[in-house]
Amino acid sequence: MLMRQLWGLLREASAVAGLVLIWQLATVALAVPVFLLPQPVVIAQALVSNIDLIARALLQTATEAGLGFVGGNLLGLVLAFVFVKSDLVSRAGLPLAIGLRSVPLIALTPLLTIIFGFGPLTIVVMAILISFFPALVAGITGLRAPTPEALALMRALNAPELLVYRRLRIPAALPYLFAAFKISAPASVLAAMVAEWTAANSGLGYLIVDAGDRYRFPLMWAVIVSATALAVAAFVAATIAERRVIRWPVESA
Amino acid sequence: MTGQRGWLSSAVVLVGILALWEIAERLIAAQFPLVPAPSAIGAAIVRFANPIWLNLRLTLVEAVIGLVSGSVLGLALAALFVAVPRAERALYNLVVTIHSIPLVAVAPLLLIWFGVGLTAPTIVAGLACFFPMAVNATRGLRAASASALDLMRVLDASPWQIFLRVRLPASLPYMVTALKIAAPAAVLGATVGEWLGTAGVGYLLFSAMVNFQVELLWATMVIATAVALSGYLLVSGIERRFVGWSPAVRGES
Repeated sequence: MLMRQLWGLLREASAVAGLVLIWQLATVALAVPVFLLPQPVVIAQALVSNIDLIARALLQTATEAGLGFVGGNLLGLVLAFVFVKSDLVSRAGLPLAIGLRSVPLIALTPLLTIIFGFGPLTIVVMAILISFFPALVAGITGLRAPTPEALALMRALNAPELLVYRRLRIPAALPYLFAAFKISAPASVLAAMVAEWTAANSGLGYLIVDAGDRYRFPLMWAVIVSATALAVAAFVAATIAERRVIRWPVESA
Repeated sequence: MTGQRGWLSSAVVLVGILALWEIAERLIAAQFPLVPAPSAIGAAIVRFANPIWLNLRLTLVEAVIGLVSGSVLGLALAALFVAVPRAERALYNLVVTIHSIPLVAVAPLLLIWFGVGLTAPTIVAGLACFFPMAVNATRGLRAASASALDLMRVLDASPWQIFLRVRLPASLPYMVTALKIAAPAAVLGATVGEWLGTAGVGYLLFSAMVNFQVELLWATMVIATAVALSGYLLVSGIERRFVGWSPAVRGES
């Protein structure tokens, strides 16, 4: 089992390494200008020599995205409980929530910047908004996922409401929630970066645009690589957490 | 039936929220100049109809071209994956890696490559549509029932016939689901791609923010949201009209 995982990891790593090698050879052989596509070696150099700058920006973006992710999920889940408890709220609110989910949230950033001002507040609010809707929708669908038979059994056994949640509704909701986390964890990184365009002069999102404006293309690529790594790390963290928590077989949604 | 009533009650809630908002604005008038009353936003939409329409036209062109080309390419990749499983093993991780590069990071890069104009936003919109389509279409083409595939093989159908008659119809509900994600995403992608440009809804939002034209900002935002939402509703309508037969559609939403 472990051997197979290691083997798979090795194969993937070698595929990536091969790709980088081809990229390196091609850029050298074809003399690709640096503004089109810098050599991987040059990007790595830029990463190393600007490591302080990039690390600081990475930490800032990760913090803002993390705060937003936690806040958005808390809000979404609390609201999901209200929706599930009250039929009236859910009938009026659910189509509204689903409609709002398809609002181009990222395009809201200029508006948020004007309302919440230039600074970290806007960035966190953006990340909250991005994580909120997946949590809300997943929470509602998940808490409602138990079969009517299971719910009826709980009622027949005279189980208190709290127990129904703890033993039935919440475990049933977990797969949906983790599916939402896997979307919103990288998305909150993305949201934070967008908001940094308009509402900050630091962080990964700002650094990409700034490096481009100054024609520092290797640095720009180094930041793009770091941002991608951060988004992937967020996704992987959500996946690992999912595997740790959900130890029972689930039909994939 | 229930869906219709859901929409009705949502509309009631929406109207209620707008009315409360309007009353609150009137009562504590001009306390929050950053959040204009709905009536003021409506008036601003009329007043700025001309600049909004001129910019919206560009964004729509970019979004539609991006949606079509991104979806077609996504479907082509899915067909390749299903026809040549080796290709999937080789390329799948590469595709996932590219997918995890934040679009926000790509937009400034595309601007450098293609310059200011329609190309960069169109590509961002196309990328935003490509991945949902590739992933869902792959799943959909695989969803063809084994017995139908066996039957086709027994009847000596060519691979092309199998693709056209069995796999493609089976994947339609999945592709429509992808389109429901892609249609708003195309508008969003085009908008984000325009932020650093000189025309389009994204540019209008950005310049309204920089010049502190609060009402123009809100008006543009509302229109952009309405456009993205109607893209979603259009696809939902198509879904109900043409693929209502599929259990995947009825079970999923």
